[in-house]
Amino acid sequence: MVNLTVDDKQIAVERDATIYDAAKAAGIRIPILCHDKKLHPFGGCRMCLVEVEQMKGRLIPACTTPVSEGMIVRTMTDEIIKARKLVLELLLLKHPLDCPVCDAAGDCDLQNLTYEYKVDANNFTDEKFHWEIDYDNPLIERDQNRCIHCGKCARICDEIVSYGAYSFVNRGIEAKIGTPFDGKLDCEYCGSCISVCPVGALIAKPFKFKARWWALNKVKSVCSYCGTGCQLTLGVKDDKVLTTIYDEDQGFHNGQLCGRGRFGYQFVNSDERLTTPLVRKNGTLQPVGWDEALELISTKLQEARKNDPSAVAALATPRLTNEELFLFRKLFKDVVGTDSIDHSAGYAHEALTAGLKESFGITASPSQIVDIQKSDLLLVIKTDAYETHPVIGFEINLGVKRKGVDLRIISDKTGKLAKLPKAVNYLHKPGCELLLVNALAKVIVDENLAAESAAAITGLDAYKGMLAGVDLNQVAAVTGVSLESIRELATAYAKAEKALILLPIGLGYPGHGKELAQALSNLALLAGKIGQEGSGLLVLGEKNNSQGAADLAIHPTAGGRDAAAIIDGCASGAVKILYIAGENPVVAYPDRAKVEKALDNAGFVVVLDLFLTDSAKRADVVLPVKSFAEKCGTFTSVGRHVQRIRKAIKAVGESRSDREVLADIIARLTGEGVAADSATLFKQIGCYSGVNYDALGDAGAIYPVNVSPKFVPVVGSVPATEEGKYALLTGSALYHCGTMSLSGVGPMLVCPEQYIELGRVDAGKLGVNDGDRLKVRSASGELSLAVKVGLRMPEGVVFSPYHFADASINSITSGKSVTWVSLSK
Amino acid sequence: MEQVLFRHNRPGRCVTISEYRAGGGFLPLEKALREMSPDQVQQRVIDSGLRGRGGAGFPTGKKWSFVPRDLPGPRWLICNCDEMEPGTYKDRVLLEANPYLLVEGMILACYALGVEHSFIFIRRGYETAATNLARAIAEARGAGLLGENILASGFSCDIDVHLSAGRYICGEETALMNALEGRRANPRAKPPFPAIKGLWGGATVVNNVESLANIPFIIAEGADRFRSLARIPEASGMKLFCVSGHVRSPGCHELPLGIPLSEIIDDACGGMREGSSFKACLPGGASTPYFTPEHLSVPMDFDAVARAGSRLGTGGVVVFDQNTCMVRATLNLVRFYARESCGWCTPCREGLPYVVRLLEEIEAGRGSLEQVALLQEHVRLLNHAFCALAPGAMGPVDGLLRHFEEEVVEHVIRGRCPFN
Amino acid sequence: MIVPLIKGLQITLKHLFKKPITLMYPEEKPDVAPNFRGLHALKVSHNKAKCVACYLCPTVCPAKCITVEAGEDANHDKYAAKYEIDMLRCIFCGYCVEACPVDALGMTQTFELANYKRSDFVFTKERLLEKK
Repeated sequence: MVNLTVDDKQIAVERDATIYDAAKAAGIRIPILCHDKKLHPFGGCRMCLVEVEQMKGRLIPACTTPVSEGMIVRTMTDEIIKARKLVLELLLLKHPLDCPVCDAAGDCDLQNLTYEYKVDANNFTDEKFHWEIDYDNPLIERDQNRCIHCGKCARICDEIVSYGAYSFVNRGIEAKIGTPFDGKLDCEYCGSCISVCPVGALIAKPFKFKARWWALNKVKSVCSYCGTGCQLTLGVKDDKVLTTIYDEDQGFHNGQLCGRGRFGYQFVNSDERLTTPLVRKNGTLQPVGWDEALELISTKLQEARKNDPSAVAALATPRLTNEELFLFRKLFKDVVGTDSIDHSAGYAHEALTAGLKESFGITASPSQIVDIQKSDLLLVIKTDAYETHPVIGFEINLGVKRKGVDLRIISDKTGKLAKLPKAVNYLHKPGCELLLVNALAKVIVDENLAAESAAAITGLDAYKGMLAGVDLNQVAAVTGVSLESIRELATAYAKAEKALILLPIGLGYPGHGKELAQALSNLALLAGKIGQEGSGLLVLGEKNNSQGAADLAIHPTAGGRDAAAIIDGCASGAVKILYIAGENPVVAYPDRAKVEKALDNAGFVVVLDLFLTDSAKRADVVLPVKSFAEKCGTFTSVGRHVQRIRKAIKAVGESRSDREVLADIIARLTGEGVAADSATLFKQIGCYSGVNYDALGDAGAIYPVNVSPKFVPVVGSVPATEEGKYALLTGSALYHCGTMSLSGVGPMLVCPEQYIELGRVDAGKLGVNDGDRLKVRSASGELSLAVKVGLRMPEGVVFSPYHFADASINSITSGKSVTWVSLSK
Repeated sequence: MEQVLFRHNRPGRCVTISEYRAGGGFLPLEKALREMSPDQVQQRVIDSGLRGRGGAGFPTGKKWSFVPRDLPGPRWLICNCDEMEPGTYKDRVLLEANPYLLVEGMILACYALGVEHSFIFIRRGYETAATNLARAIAEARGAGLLGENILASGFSCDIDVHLSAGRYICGEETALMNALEGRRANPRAKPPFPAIKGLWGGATVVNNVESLANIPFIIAEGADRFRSLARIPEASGMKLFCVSGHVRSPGCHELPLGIPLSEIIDDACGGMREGSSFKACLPGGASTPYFTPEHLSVPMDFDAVARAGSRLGTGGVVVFDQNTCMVRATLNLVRFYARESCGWCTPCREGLPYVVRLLEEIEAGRGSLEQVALLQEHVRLLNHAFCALAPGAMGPVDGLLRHFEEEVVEHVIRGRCPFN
Repeated sequence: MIVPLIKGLQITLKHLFKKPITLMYPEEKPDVAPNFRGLHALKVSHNKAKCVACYLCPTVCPAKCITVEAGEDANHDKYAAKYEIDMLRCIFCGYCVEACPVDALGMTQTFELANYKRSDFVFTKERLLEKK
């Protein structure tokens, strides 16, 4: 600790703190324009000048100068005020005074400081700039004329997002923020640059001219897309969510969001939202009152409850709140008496609910997101971890670039993560993850690198016995990863003091199920990486409440049908009533034709959704439900983080929350009312008994778990290959998450349609270019898809995201980790 | 007069390695590697009182001593040959005549600092110098004076010439390091100072060409001998003064430090041109406040010039005669700095063009006394910029307002430039 | 006794021949002072409303009677796609005019705002545009 005096206050701060940090800690505000706590100090704007007794004679920038023992700092003297005024006056020389039409007005650092320092008249006058404004991309409008050269956009894009879309170009007064070759902006569209821009040089197009900053009601909530659980602030006006607002003090991610989190909010107030319950009459869905719809559902369920509860099945989306999932389970398991409930197609949660359940005795990851930056070595399964969970991707970027974390990736394609400094990507043939992981374990055993702690864990002998059967040479031949690489990776992993494995799961990754999770658990246990900070295994659930759905056991636990069996049951007629809460199996589940047939065949299908999805179109009753912005409750994100969401707007149309609907149905079935408020329900959830709902606050809480480890040997098999065909991999596109982002507007502006991505060599062979169309034929169907040529895909492997409803890739997938397809023009 | 840097020079052409060696070249290197420890070399440079010739005049040995001996990781030496200060051309003259002196000086510096790889950052326009250097390095390597195991001493070091895409700001040592790393040439925040964390995060020393070229002499002849070369006791060594402007024979001359300004102009350069009389001069390149006739007797050494209210800088003396409009001269200089600002910090990026505008107004006769006051204020406030560029640019403006205020006011009052 | 009576009659007679103070409204119209705060008008320049939809008038309005919605025109400029003043709520304080940074809003001398329907008191942008 270092002791110093700031404005007569005695302060003790960390050795690496700057004067600015020290003043902030003491509650003294030093004005800044170019400083951001997430970024490396810049020192360009010269607003934060202070006087230091020991360095008299010149003013010192507070944001770049480290503290030293006995420093005496003054933050406000006449000379300082003069210098700051000069900076503002100089900036205002070129800055256009178009505050009335600038969206940043009210939230503009330059405006606020100008007001604070009473720069009401400028001593100077000069020509303004006339840079061309970049209107050409759908999400980010760049007006260089308003730029004050703080460089935050370029820095955040480089340091945190690791994309590097911007840089300073030119010199002197002509200096500006430029894009490559000074062209139009073409980037990931995460919008981080907008969030840090202190003025209105970068503005979010979807929010342009929608409202003034001061008129917005700011509601803190949690993002409803992926499982990262980013906190966000919704900007609300007149019961409409108009934007997301950056708050650098929110969450582990310091307010950092990805593109869909920042720009994907528009589904909340979409015109397409369902507003009334619909019931199928004479073959068409017709609007009815809530009472009629609910009565119809209750009657059907009541009948089934008495006669044949097993003919009832229910699918829930892991986007519901914990409280809703709790009621969902209560309705179907306890009241109706069926065990056929599931979510995420069954396979997308197996890693947690079956894999980790057996290996660790818990349905959650033993590690947390904050472990990423504390680790020494990260082993990421698939580069797709960035696409599925972009903000976790930012954490990985920061870990690698700031903390020197050794990043190793086992992946069937390359990707953004693989391009990070010193990252090693072990590119393998599709579907070989399990073989590789077992091979790593074998090397660790063979080279006596296993941790001592492993000996005490049950099942070690059986595991070693299984590993004895692994033929490393064969693995190297099958996977395409050389023996040396496997050895090197295994050694590095075992020898790293702290090593963390990241496994993304989700509907797009059928291969990331129970076995892979267990093989990875075994590996981590063998190397002794479980149970310490910065180490372990982090399973990245796909949706905002995937972890909650696993915790609340929204899956068959007593021999009931899982999702696949429910679909089969519908097809065979064994399932007569299907209740679908928010899932969209037609688009999101593999083998679309089969799912469509099943839904058509089922006796009575109820769908609760925000939109009339392809699944809802086949339902008998459709109920409009509330989005995350219209209700309260809790989500549990990756790393067991329970956080509250808050109601921001009134319900759209007549929509009700799933919680209200479920409580109503339960009341109708049992004749007894149930408590339907979040607080009461949360307290009833057994697995969260360690979490105090009232104390959740803004930060949320991480619930504790006890790991009871066990080795569960899983044998890898050599994936089948088909000669002359391409391996089709499914997964997430960076801009999308599940099927909800299709209504999010922002994501659709940058990634509007189903595409197939292939490498340059394959594109050359097929003679196709970006934007051409290719016929993709599998055993179950054929699609014509737009081509995207990139550097990510190795030869013979193609990729397609699963989110899209039109030409959805799931109409040709098999439900295995790889679907073999033939491509033709 | 004894010459240190020009002693090997041949008229009209570059010296060859055999001529250089015949004249005693590379003997100091042999002597250092055989007889002296790196610490002794460093100590001798400290004792010699050699001060950086690049502009700031910081003692070279002291700069070296800031590199912690026990710092892990590679360390670097960079020779700054991005000579872009208007009025300065000494490094070019030196390197076009004799690149070996620099090569030898750099090897000695590398030896003293424990550097294995060093760079010469040379300005794009200096292609002859760069070619000379490349040849000199190849020849030195061929002669076993550079590369692995130099002269069988066990010490290895190498030199790379980097012909930069250069801009004025690249001469700032931290911007130079950024440029060398392949980044945009913006200065870096100090601290951390380059001696702790510089090029690629390693300890780095950046020295000027002339500073390094002095080292062989210091090693060969000793610190005291070097000190005694200067004209006054507080100075040490020789200095290249490059004189330009209204003198009879402008040129680069090696003269002892501490020599009076008048002697440089009258003796070395043959006095003022026909019909010209001395009005003012920039004593050390474009970023230094003016000297006037009253300063003609000032001994040209770092401290003495500083006491007289200016800086010795690079030793680039630009002389103006009585027909020069000082406002116009200053405007010309500030225009250069405004153009060469990197655009990083507000006072420099926005402030310098504004000063240019003020001077333009005054020069055109549209100025007011308030603008003169505003100019005065800027001289003080632009000191708060990120690096030394803006304060340097304010040097001549400062001199203008201090010594030629009457001339400025005359512009305002008469509503036109009196020299038109 | 008679003197006061005559005095009184004198005054009566004097006023009998003076110009009357009362106004025969509505046949006669009063002279309205130039700084009178009557009906609002959106000023026009270059055949376009000057208003840039900065939302300062609805922000400052104490009666919350102004509704603005901004739009983006073909030149990417901001304009008021919707500009409404509810005259039933307006208190004619003139703060909106004072707050306007682009001098787009003024108050006219029109004070006859009576109407038959409530909806007629909501003045849309078209009705507010300055008549020339």
